[in-house]
Amino acid sequence: MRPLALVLLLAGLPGAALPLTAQPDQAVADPEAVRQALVPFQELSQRLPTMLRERLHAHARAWAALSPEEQAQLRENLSQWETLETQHKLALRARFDAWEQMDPATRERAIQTGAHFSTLPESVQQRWRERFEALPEQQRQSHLFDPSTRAVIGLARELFPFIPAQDHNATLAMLRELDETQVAALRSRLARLPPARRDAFRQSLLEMDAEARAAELGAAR
Amino acid sequence: MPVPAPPPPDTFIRMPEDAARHQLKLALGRLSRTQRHVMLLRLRGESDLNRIAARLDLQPAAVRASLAFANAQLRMMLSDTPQDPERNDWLLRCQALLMQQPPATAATSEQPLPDTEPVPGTSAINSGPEPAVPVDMASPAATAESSSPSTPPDTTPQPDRNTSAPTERTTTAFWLLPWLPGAMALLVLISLALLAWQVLSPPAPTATTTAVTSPERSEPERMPPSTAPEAPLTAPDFSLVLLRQQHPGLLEDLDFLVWLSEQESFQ
Repeated sequence: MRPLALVLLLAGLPGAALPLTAQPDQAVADPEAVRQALVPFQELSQRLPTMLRERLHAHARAWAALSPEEQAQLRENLSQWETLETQHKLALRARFDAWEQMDPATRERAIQTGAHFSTLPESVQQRWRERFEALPEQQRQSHLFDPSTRAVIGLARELFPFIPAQDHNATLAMLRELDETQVAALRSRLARLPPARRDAFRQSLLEMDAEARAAELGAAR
Repeated sequence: MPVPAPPPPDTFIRMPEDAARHQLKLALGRLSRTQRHVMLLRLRGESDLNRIAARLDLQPAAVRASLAFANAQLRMMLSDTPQDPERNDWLLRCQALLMQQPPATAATSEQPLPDTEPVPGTSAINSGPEPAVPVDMASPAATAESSSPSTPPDTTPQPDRNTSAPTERTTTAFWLLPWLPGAMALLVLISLALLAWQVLSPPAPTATTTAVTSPERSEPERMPPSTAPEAPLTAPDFSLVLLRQQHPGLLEDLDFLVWLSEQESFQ
């Protein structure tokens, strides 16, 4: 079914559950052009889940903001993308996933740094790359995240030695919402729990809404 | 049971009449009873399948299938060029042999097929306006009786006659073997043709519009190909590819660039 295929295709994006504000550069698109781009999906988009519908509209806005030459180039690039090896595509998707989770300031800095870096002499570029390659692997990979995310990841590692993969994003989101007082309360509460029960406590926190979580951590102080 | 090889070139067409008749008897003996009767009627000039069906109390479709099978089998055994269905000199020779049936053999033909019970309508063949032709000339027992009645079966040079006749089913299965590769190839070709038809059949020109405007549509809809105008919006990696187009190399160097942007000495 076409709606089902559309849902699967859109949902197949690794960052499908991520906020749509992290789209590539979106120039201001002509509303009429956006409407025209969405005409074939007018009926379908009403039946899509909200998240997928917004993603489809974001694609339409990005598409409409492109010049005809850029649209043609994008078609060509999409075709070439399909020819890439699976492992290469998976690696790029992981990096795009990280890109979508970055805060706008970090993304902007990365873009500007890249533009400036490309103007440097080859020998200077090489020296900087050698310095980066000399870092430990874990430290290099940590720079796929913005500074605040890196801090939350560090906190998660400190509090919960093991977090199942399916809980990574939810746990990081929960920790990101905590203020310093709540983090201190969580650290204190976990210290009093036997290690075997710490993960169960994390699970219970995930099942709470923000208010209940705040109340729980407030009571723990 | 070994599969008999096709006859060497020019054997059946040019061999003496007695030997050719014997060869024809052997070939007909390979066929099932129904195939043999259908083929004999056809060789004797009956061209109407419905009449053959009526005589043998068969469905016309069964007659057509039996005739096709029998014709192919006889061609494999009697034709100089078995793979050439257009060549019918062997068929003419068969007809000639049947029309020139000697009286002695014709006398034996009045008996029903020894390996089977008499076929309804078979006697009408011999009593019709056409000359009396031995319907059971292919019967292995009749052949043995007419050609060498005193020869023990074990010493005859036609070992298949005694093994193929008693169980018609075995004979049929035996002759199906050479056709299996062809049948399998035919099945594969049909499957490929169906797949090709499904893939290459053009979609209805208003498929996209209809899909949008008629929610009660029940038939499955295809995702538009990547070349369709609306396809880029539904591409799962739309944003990723667009980002790579707008900032080449950014994703590949993302960790490096984030690290670099935090280096005071680089600023």
